[in-house]
Amino acid sequence: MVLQNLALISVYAVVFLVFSWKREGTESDYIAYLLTGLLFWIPLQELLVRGTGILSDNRSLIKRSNIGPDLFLWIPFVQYLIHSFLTAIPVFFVLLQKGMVSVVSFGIGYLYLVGMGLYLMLLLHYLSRINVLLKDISPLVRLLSSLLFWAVPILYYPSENWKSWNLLNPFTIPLDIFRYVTIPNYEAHFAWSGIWMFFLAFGLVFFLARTKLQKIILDHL
Amino acid sequence: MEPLVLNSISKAYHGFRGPWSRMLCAMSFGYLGVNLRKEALSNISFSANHGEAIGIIGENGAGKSTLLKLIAGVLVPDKGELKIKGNVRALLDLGLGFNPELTAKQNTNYNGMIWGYSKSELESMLPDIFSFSELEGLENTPLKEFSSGMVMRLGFSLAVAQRPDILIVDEALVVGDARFQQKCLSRVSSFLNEGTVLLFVSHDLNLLSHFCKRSILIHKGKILLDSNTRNAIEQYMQVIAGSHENAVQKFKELNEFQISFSKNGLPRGTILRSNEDIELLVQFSPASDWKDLTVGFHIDDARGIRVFGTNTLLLGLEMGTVLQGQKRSLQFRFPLHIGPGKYSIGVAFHKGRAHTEGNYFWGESLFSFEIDSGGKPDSIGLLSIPVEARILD
Repeated sequence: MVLQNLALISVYAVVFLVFSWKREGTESDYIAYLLTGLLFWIPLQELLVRGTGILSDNRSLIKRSNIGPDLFLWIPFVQYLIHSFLTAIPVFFVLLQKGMVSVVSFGIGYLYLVGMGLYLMLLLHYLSRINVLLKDISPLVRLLSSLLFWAVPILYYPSENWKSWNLLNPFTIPLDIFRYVTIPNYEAHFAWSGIWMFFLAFGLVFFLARTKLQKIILDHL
Repeated sequence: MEPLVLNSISKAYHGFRGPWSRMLCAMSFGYLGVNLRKEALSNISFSANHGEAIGIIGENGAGKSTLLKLIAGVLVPDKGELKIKGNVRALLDLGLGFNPELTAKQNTNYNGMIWGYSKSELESMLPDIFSFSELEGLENTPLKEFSSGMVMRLGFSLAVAQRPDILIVDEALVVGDARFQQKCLSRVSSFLNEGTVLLFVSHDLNLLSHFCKRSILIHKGKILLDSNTRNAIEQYMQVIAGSHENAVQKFKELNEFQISFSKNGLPRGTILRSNEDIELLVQFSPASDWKDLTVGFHIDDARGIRVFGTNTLLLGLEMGTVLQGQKRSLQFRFPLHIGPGKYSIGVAFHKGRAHTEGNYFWGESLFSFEIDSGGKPDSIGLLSIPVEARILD
């Protein structure tokens, strides 16, 4: 998976650096912008897809022990921690060589990615449960993640016209914060106050997924 | 305090009438869309003491597995109180959960952690697990290279590597060959002696009688009887007899058709004893005129091997012609000289000596029954021949 992540980042980097979808910044600004965007999104997308299917995939084990389904949700999270760390090493190495990031920003950036994994886990508690109920929603989740990918300013600079649409995506502001903490002199493109709305919504989803829905899911495992 | 106490436990399963209800349930976090409810258990109360083995018996769908899942913590009760002191281990579907691509050792570690063993416990128990399962030297072999029996042995060895306070067994107590089965039974017996509570669900009433002095009979989600195992099995047989006595079957060749067992004219269930005298009652009404009728029956074992067969002509009984719509009853009386196991009965209506002369109706496996040795098997094999032994000098 790490090699796949790196291959994806390389393909996107080569294609988009060749087409050079940059705005007023220099090319070196765009390299950091693009690589941090891909480093943020690709392991997160993998966590989204794997996490959605984790309860269905392990239903025979869940049915056999009393540890409950929640423990299984931490499996894709731990994989995410490992994969994002291993993916981050060559990406940061390239950016370090070009003098675009510091070692400290690598550490802070990785800790931020851990936090982002936890943020997505709030949603995964719901998605993994309804995946059991609706048999298999993974094709839908893959489609959704592709739409989210293009709705987050990963490869492009947010234009004034698109900014309001980008803000509807729960990962836009987190990505902006990630770039802010990793790229020195990065100027944030969005007002971060909007993230609380998503935090509250994800928290509510997490709570509701673990109450009444949990009981119904156990009947259908 | 008793290690297991259930107080007025009830559990219902929630379902959906269609995909839209299912979708609505998912979108509303379970608050809407649930429009089917099946009561699986109702007002279940009992407790178990240290070292007690309790058999759980009942028909399919009675609620036995739901009860075990509630105690195992896999399901949550809707109502009531469930008090458990100590750790619970459930032996359900031993081969499930193993990944064929991983090695035996990796599977043991992964599954062991799921079962609540710590990493250090697993490290120390590994040699014993592989020694008990007789798979030493195969620790690093991928599971896909194991036979199903080897996988079951590994699963069982892992499950019983450490004594649990409550052991739940659902038909998974006997695995492997006869010698390994003895090891399994011996391990469970030693757990019982050390104070483990055993909850045992099985349709093998011999094995159940062997382990459990006390049994709970569950019928339609309720406890019908909590008594000694002998009483519970007797009551269970009556429950089964009750559910089969009106088992009328429909075929286009027959207006009416029914098979049942009786003994001395009284209805008998489908769990019978070896060497018992039994009456097979065949009631029928043909859909057309059947001339020169012969009625036969045959008994097949679970593998489909014909154990016995006969007919009225061979027995010297003339049936003559049976007219369309005419109701006839026929009784075959015979001793069941067959060994413990599962069997089925087929019935044939034909002309003359054999169905090759003119077949009216031929039905295989129309009626199933089980032979139970009564807890004291005195022989092995397909036949149960009454043998007397005497010391002559």
